[in-house]
Amino acid sequence: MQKLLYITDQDEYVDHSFIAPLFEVYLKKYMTVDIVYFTDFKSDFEQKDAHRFTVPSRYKNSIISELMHNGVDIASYDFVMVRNNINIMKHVLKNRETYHYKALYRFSFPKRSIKMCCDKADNKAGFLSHMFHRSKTKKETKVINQCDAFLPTSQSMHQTFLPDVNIPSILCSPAINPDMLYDNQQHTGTQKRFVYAGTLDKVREFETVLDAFDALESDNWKLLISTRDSLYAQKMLDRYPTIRRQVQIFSAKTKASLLELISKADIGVALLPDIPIYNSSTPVKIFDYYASAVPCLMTDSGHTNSVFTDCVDAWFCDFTQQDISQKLAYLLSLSKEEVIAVGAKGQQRLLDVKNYKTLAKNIADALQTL
Amino acid sequence: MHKNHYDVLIVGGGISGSALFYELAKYTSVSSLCLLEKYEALATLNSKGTSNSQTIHIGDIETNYTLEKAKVTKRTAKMVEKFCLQYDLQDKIMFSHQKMALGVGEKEVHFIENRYHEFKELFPYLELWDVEKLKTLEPKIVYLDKAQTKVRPEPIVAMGTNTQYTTVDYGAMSEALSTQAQKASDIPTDIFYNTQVVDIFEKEDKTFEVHCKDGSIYTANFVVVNAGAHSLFLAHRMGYGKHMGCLPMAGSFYMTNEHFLNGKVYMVQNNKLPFAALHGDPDILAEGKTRFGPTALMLPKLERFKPGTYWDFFKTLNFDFHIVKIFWDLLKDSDIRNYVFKNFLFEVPLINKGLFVQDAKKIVPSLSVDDITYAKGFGGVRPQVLDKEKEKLMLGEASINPGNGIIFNMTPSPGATSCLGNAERDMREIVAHLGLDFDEASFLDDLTE
Repeated sequence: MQKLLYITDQDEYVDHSFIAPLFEVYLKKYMTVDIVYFTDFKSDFEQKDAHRFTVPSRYKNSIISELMHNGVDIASYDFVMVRNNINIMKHVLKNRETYHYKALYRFSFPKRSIKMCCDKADNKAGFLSHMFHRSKTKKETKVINQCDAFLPTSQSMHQTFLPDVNIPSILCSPAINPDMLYDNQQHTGTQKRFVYAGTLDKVREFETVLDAFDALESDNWKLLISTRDSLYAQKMLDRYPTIRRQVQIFSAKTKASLLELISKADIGVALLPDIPIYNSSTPVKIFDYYASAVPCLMTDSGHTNSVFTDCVDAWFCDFTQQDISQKLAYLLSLSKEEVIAVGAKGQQRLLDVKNYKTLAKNIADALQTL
Repeated sequence: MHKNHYDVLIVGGGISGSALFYELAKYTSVSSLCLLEKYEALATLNSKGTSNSQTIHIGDIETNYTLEKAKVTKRTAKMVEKFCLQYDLQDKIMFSHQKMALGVGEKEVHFIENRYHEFKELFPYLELWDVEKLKTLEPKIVYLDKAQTKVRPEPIVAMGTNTQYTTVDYGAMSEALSTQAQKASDIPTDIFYNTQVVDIFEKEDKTFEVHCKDGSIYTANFVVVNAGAHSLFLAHRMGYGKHMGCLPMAGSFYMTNEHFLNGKVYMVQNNKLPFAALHGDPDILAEGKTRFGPTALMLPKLERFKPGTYWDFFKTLNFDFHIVKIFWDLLKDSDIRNYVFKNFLFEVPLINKGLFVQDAKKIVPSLSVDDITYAKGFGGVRPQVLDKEKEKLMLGEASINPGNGIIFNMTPSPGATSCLGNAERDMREIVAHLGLDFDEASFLDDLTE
């Protein structure tokens, strides 16, 4: 069986991640997968089990030698994949000839571009920042083009953020885990419960969504927000005294507790501005909602409508207060049964087109062709 | 000229040397033992109660330890506890305080919560304390103001306990170890004070000749050097450990003017600077006042608060291109660079207190410069080892054992906690090398769980 070493830039204790089912379960049917996590806090290398290692983040740029030093046989790997960190990728490429592995770069999210957007929103991004950003993108492209394959989250993300990467590309998108589906816990009563799970910041402009809720005539709804940015959420909600009592903030610590919260809701909210950092791939929260068959109200973008159909397995609207309000009013008018039907269809749609089981097979097949 | 021959000779009467002295005398058939101490008493340098944080580092709240490392340190830390209980030293030199590792902010809170679940099986007594619980256990870490009306805005959580022995005066424990060693055996167990070793030579008959500054010469079948940074100095003089250099890091403390914290509060450590995380400890030598620190400053000498040793530092640093590379790599990192610069400023009069308080506010948000004073005479030197072959700063302890009957140990933190564990390792080596008997059953029964 071939071996893959997956070096993720994520923390050892991460569990909200998309990595778990794909790399820790489904891809293992086709190859041995060992995963390297990093820790900002522990001082020493740690082997968590036969296939998981934790390395102090100070060794990020010498990861191959640090793994060798701790008894990990790098020469035994056929593939070494790096997630998102270009400096680690450089180091892995430097050692490729010595250990004879194929080097792969996984591009899960355009972190630097998001930071640029945040800086722009805060009026911090000047001319120099733009120049620096462009120059970095060029350098990154140069490094990635030395790899054997590029694994973006979507073709659209590839074309939008790293268009000059011209090596073989293998799609590695978020998907639904067919072995981890939850029942939607329908509550009694007519109130509609909405849920939003994820980051809140200036770029996500969640105020537009709150404005839309605020404009509703009906108050027969509730909004549950689960975010790690609870302070930010709190401050933002303080500006909406008329709907404050209808909004509850949670901070789900684990994937399980997040899914439990989602399963108590009727409708998921994935309303994000229609800009490239959000519309070039399917937001992970959508998979979290549909894992519990919770249907989702999402921004109408090229990406979302390539997967879902409005009013069949999801609901679309433009990211404007007026359009969101109209759609919310429509959703409040739907019966429970109608909502449930959309959720079930959406879950089935994802199982058909974005499913970790099939994704793992596609990736394994594509790696064989390198 | 004084000349004596011993089966085993130990250089250095700090906690590590005393622990080995004790174990050999009590549990082996060694025929004679000698301990050479440079100063007028045992443990006048880093093992002294005022030189270190007096903590038993068992691995439960030391957030830079991996689970594997904690399994090892738990065993050695329990040896310290068992020794003290065996001789009824609890509440005399060993004390029980509340202790916790505090996470501040989302990232650290996430880490502490996960770490708690990971380590709970190894340390079943650990509890996870949320902000409400902390209000009662350690209110000063919760509130922004002295009147305790306003809770700090960032999330906090702690993992800790108030059921364990946590604190030891390692200076007093060194005395207890040597006293019990001499009581435990009828063999010669000599301790010579004011005896500074300057050179060690290996003789043709495979024994060692130890030369002292006062002209005295001792010979021994086995020599163990437990002399802090001077261990490497003496190793280099014999041609051993040339691939190592020593970087002495001096730590200073600040003392509160009154009782401040109810127990030990440790911060989440940065893996790049694990020896550098600030903590607050009730000081058993200062009427329970809280001691904050340590700071960390590179000091061009091997012993703090003692004259000289500048030249010894330059020799032990073993300066060359590899050392330059290590420094360069360290200072390339902005976290380390800022840390080095900040810690330099912590020693500059007039501005030091204000800057230190800014850092210590992460533990006690309401702390002000009027609450603390620089703890004069407190603090020691940690001999951090530089590995020239790997061009890396080694974290923790280092030992040079060429296998010919001599061992050199450098034991920065958590060296005091692991003194009896390190001594066990060396004792087993000595027993094998000299063909001695070892009463393992009694040893395990007395010192391990």
